[in-house]
Amino acid sequence: MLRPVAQVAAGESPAGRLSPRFSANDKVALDETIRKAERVSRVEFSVFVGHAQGDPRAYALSLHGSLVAPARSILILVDPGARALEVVTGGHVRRTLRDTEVELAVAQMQTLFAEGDLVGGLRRGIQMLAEHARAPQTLHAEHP
Amino acid sequence: MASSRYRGGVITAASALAAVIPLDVPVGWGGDQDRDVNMVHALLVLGGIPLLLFLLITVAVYVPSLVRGDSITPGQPPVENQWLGGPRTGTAELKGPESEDAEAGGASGRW
Repeated sequence: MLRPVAQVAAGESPAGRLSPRFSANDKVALDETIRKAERVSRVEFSVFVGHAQGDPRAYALSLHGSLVAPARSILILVDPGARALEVVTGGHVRRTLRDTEVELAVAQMQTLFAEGDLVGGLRRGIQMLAEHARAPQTLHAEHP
Repeated sequence: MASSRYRGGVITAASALAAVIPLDVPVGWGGDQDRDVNMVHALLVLGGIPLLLFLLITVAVYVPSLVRGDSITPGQPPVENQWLGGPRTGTAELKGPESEDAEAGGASGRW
């Protein structure tokens, strides 16, 4: 059973048209951000930018289910045409990353997307998700 | 009286200038020195050089964008599906949410 997903409202911004194509430099920057985020949080990040067929949330869930390890993965879907943003977190990820924290990242990404900064929004969102998904350090765990 | 003196001064100055600077007829202007123009040469000069400049300017404008991987088509580029860190099979074989993923959460947004 799928749990209800929080909706984060954003103001209309007619100027915030996103260019859905990444340049080579953008891809390098995003890859680096994803690598760092995965190293920090021990969670797999996947970003899909494109056309969401049908309901964006259902499509994002389908994409998330097609990942190698969905439970340990975070999927970010951005549909620039429909101005839709979806973040799907797996069951294991949710142990450390709460939906309220995901909402914060989504709100930050929305702000940057509305300004037309697709790459900046993705990078900031990935960084925020990684910081929140990082498992809390247990003191004296190695020295009982 | 004054105007005739002025006119005489102008003529004297022009004569002096002609004595200092040789005012010969430029080469090729004389009717007896007309030469046949090679059509191929004329076409190369009048058509080839502008075409070459056009190509050079076009290359100088578009090559940096192509190297960066930007789109060079006018208008808003179409939305292409792009994965970063996702499965390499694309979206052709999508599965439904798995049982393990039934606890999936997250958030949605519009802008």
